[in-house]
Amino acid sequence: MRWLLPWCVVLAAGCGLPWIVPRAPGAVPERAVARDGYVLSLSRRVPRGTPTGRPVLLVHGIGANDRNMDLHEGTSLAAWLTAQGLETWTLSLRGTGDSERRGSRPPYAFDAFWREDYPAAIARIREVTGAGQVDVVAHSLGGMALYAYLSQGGEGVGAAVTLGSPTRLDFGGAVSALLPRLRGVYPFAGGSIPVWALAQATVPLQGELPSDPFMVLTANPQNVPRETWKRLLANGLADIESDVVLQLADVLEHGRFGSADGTLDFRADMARVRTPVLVVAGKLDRLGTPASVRDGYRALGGPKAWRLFGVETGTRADYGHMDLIVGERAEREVWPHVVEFLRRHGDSV
Amino acid sequence: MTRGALAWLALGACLLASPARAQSLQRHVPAHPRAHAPAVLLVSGLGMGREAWAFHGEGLAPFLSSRGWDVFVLELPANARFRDQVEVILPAAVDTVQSLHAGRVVLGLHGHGGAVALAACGHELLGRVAGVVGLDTPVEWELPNAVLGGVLAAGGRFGALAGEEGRATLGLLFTHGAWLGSTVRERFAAEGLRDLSPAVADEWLSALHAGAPPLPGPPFAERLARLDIPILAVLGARDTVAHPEHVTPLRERAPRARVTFRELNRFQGAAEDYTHLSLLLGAGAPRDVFHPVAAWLERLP
Repeated sequence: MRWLLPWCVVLAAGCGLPWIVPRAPGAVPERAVARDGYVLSLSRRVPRGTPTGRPVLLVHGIGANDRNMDLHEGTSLAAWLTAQGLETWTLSLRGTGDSERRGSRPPYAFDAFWREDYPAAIARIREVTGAGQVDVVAHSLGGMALYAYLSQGGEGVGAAVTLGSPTRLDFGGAVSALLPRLRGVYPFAGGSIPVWALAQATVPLQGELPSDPFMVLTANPQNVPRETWKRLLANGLADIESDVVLQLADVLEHGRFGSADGTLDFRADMARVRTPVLVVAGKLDRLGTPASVRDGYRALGGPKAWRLFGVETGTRADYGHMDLIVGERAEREVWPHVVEFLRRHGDSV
Repeated sequence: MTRGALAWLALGACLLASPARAQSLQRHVPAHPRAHAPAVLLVSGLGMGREAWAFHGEGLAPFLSSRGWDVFVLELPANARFRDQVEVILPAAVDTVQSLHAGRVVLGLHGHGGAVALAACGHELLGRVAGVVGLDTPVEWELPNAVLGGVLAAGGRFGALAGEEGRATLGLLFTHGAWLGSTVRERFAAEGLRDLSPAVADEWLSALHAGAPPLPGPPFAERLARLDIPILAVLGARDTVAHPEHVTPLRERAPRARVTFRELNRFQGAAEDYTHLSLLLGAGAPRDVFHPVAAWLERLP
């Protein structure tokens, strides 16, 4: 039966083909090599004229890749920020996008993202641009890894924005219910959860059902058009290493946000962070709920700012998890606040 | 409503020290009382009347009463200052309840008004309350949005939201995204919302800006730290008056309390992402809110 698996993958990939789209034009591929040897894929965009601030590194969330930040022309946080005069870089964390997969290397967990990938990407950006510091805009797990990185010194980060990044999920919500179930996938998945193949196989159906559970969990259809949603699934998802899930399950079920070996308490150490951070939450985010995101805001030492996006704060619809980065009105309702914060805390503007 | 619940025994306006401290306490007598069950005292929240708990046969009060609990509903007067609430009104209400129902009292609270009663459990009511059910009862005080700030700055005229001019604000604070029955949607604003007095509105607004209600005796944080009771904290994902993110610090701020969170959102099968009003009177509230509350009450030691 082992011969069947590759064919299933090929068939699954075929389902998503109609929604495969190129990223917005103007991106130049780059790469960085982490200290443990993993090769990481970066993508660089340079604005016309002289950049008006520090370079900005964009980092995606769990089970995703850098296309979340640069989906296609018209839906690209990276391209939009570049149009505002900022040089932007997107990163695919290890095991996602064009970055190196585990292969024969040892398994890795969440700790690799902050301990290896962030330093490697930031060092490469500084090397190429000559900038002393880099700003970071990170979504979901990318923001969690950023918190961990900042809590352990945060070398090279000037200012940061996190979008829907929780630091605890033990309030009886959606993720705390979901994570333990994902544990059961581990023995059957050969060390990773096949999110990519599942997404490809189901793209034609996604967004078509009135209560599509995946969409209910991750987006508000009032903000994310069906076609954008399908493109995101076809281009922007990646498998999840089981050890990443296991570390998150362990730390988030019980509200402890720390290293896998238990020696570091990121939440406690976040009190030492002096990097300015804007913490963004979506009112209808069921993954990074406002309560779970606010916990990180509370833990940060400051300077810091908090912004909740929903009808009550002036948006047309309440924001879900993915809406913050691919919502059709995000460039008017959300992203200008990101730029404003980075400019306010920039060193050259 | 059951006949038992219909037997609203108006203990009526128990006039206390002054008319400003008048309180109205209603009782929902169960037709078939549970043996050894605690009395349940439901306290109205900011800008809401007793209808929040019992509105034309709907609500937590008739629900619990029909299942055997002896339920009392306390409506805080519109001109009750924080000091009056914790020092006079709440202790007097608990006195009255215990004079009619020997034994323990459990409080049912809602929103910021409920948070003040929760603080009283750490001082004026210390040792007198067996447990608390809090429906979006925030312990981190912060103005949630400019909409609520505008209502309070304009004198706290929640009752006026029932009119044409208040419709948009009413929607943003109470009905946006909520799944409400037609009776509630059409009539609650007119019957269940209450104007605050300007002084009380100003006191509330100042407290939200200051980060805590100014209470006599121990400050808010110290009162919470003293809580040593079981607390069921229900979180409505879409509450725009009392945000769930302002409720969840309860576990850290009341470390000795046995806090259970129940987060309600559609992904986990709830009928809706609950709002400030639908937690109380939503069409799905009996299944998603009231049943879990009853189950929690049954498990109370």
